[in-house]
Amino acid sequence: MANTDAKQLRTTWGDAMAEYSGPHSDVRILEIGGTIAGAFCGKLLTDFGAEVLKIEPLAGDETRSLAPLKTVEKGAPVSGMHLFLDARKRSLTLDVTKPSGREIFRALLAQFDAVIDSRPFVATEDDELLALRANAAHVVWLRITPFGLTGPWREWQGDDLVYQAVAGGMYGWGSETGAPLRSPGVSADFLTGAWAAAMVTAPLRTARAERQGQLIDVSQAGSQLLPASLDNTRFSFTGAVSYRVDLPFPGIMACADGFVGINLMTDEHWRKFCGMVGQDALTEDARFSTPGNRVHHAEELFEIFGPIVLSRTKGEFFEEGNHKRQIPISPVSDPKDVMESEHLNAREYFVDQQLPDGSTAKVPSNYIRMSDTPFAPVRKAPELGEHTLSVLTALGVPRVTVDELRQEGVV
Amino acid sequence: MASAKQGPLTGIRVIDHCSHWAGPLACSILGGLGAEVIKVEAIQRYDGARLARICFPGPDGHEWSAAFNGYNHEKLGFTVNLADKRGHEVFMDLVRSSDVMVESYRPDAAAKLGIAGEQLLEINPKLIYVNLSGFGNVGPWAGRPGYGATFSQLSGFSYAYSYAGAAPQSGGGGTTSYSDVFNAAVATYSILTALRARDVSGRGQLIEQAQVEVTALMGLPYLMDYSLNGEILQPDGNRRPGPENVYPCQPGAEQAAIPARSTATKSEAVEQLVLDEWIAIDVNSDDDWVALTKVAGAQSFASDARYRTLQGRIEHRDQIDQEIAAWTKDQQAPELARQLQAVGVRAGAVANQAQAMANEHFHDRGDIKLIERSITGAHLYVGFPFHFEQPVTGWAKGSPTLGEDNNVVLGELLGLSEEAIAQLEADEVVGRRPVWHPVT
Repeated sequence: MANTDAKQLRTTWGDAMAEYSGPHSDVRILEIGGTIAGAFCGKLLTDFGAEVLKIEPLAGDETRSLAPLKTVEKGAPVSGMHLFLDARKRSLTLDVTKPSGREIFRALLAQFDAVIDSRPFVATEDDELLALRANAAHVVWLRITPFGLTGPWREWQGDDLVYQAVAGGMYGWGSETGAPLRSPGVSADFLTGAWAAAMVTAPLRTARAERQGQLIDVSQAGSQLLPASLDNTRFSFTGAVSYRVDLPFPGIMACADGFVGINLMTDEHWRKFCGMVGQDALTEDARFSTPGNRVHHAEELFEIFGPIVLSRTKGEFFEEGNHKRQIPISPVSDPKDVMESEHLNAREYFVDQQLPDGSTAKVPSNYIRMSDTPFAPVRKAPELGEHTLSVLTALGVPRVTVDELRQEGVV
Repeated sequence: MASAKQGPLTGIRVIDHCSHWAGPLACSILGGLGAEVIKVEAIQRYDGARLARICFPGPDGHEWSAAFNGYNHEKLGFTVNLADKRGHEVFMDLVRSSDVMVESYRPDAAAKLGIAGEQLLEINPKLIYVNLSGFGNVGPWAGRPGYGATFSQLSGFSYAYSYAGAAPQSGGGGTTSYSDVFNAAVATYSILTALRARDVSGRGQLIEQAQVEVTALMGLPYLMDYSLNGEILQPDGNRRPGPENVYPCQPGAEQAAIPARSTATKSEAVEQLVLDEWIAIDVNSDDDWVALTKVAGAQSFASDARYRTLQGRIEHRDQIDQEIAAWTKDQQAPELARQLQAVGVRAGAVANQAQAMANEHFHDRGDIKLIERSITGAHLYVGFPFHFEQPVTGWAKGSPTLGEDNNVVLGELLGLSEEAIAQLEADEVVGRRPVWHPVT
């Protein structure tokens, strides 16, 4: 296999990255493992110019089949998560469990700076892929695993729910009459991915020639200890366990056209809110004089404020309360409200991304804004194996060998 | 002098002039990676986190906040009154020798103090200046007030935080905790990205992080369903098809051994409850289901042919959840989790804080560890949970007490004489005792 230099490989890939230059345009990353956390980590790096090559199994990464899906006329349904997470990346299908697949991985490694590796846990000493580090001393290798590479639970598996469950915070979240309630959406996965992006970027400050190889161990469960830390630290100080508590006021309440968050963080907010809804007299009422007293009398407050809040709209609360009176209350926006938000749209938060069938869909973008180094423009997500031939050709693998590898099910 | 630090950020000086949670946590992580982080507060106005989750009220209450003490490790504590001319000059000297500054003022407030990004980049063009706000500096909502709850509600994230068919939940802080910590993670990445850019260009820059935009990403499946299909997905609590859910277990079955606490901890009567126990189970494939049924043994659902395929399990999901719950309610959550993990099923006991802080796995990795700080002594905290082959400092030094390192910052870093420092103290430009008492 010819040892092609990085410049030639880049020229062969051409297109999307060439037009944009960002802080990470000098960085080349292999992404393998196909978890949401790993893909989000790679996404953040490619948002500022890193070239990310996804190494996918022949059946494709899991991100390609994640809900929500859109049915298209031709081909498999398109995953909304994949569109976002894999945009701007390239795709190589490669079976790294086969020796010839590992050999290709080894050749690629020489030309890359970092590996975002979220494959399932394998003991480090038994990991044939990780062993290839021995020949690539400059590589920053990030392992994202469910419970980390060390510790008694290192072989345990998990998912977003399990990682939140073991960390301590979730036990106190949700309703007193219901089960502990996890933070929604892709909270745990994206949180791990964002921390992972920071951890892999830090050692990349050292130029490749001087870089000492690094293995970074980021665990999904360990990352969830950070949002759990408020209640965990409180336990450590007081010995008290935080339990789920229903507080009818303040908090999220039903209003005329949906729900509104009556967030009253300070006494000043309380006084302003009473003024806004014509209940100034309550600020003189001893039952409600301190935050503690208001918690104690939350039921009575709900009886007073419930009907008032129900008679007004989300818009009224946001304009009159948040904007005019500077109380941090706000509508509980649903997905449609968010995508139609005048503020987010004025900031060009949603941009059009191309789907495989040529149509477009809105995806979030520009969520990191830097004055000197702009966010990379959005590009389409790669078809499965779209860059297999060009990457292998650039590596110096002859066409006939590529065909053989294909027949053997390696690529 | 501050002890020598290890990690990829050694030699980088960070000014943490932010409050609450997201910004301070980001700076604490930078400190763990080797940066020298200076927490800038004032005795006239300190970090608002010191007023949250105060465990023991009193004259030292601001030093007993679980919120502050958990998120400010690896920093030097410095107080300076920016409204005082001499204080402002001292701060500007610090800015001249710093690489990064993080603040969380609203757009016009920093300018009034003369410390807005544009102003500081003029005196230090290499500075990376980060503003963390609710809504950013441009757009119709710029400058509106916002906390974690506000961004969570406006970003669509709170909408998704609900049991099936119920109203969005506000209790307990699941969404706000994730909103703040996710913003901290993204800010940390942004700062490191700007440092890489500066390594090449020699220039600093402004980073504007609108927390509503970052928080919205965690609700991405909901946003993308509306984007692709025009559908408004209904929240369904912890449930996913599979089945995946949280199921009740036998209450109080396995009490965690609560580790001994330092004698510096003040005692407090703790209300004794019989705590409920739950297990999280995620069946991700037909193979997982077969494995689960082996652990369940004689349970009737284990042999029910309708449940062998994903389609069947989705069709009968309510029934399955009831049957699994009827089985788990007599089990001990930690033991059942061990049995399920042993056959490859993703599961974990829902740990209360006592159980999480006693978790032997986290202790073994140093993800939970004893950290010492003055006034409060040694306690268990969440540790720096990222592990590097080439060592990094991590979290060794506990969160600073108010003005704890004034002499280091003023004397060793900025070169002020002892007399000059004493004068600043006498005039309350710097200090260690608060003159601000918002909580009575």
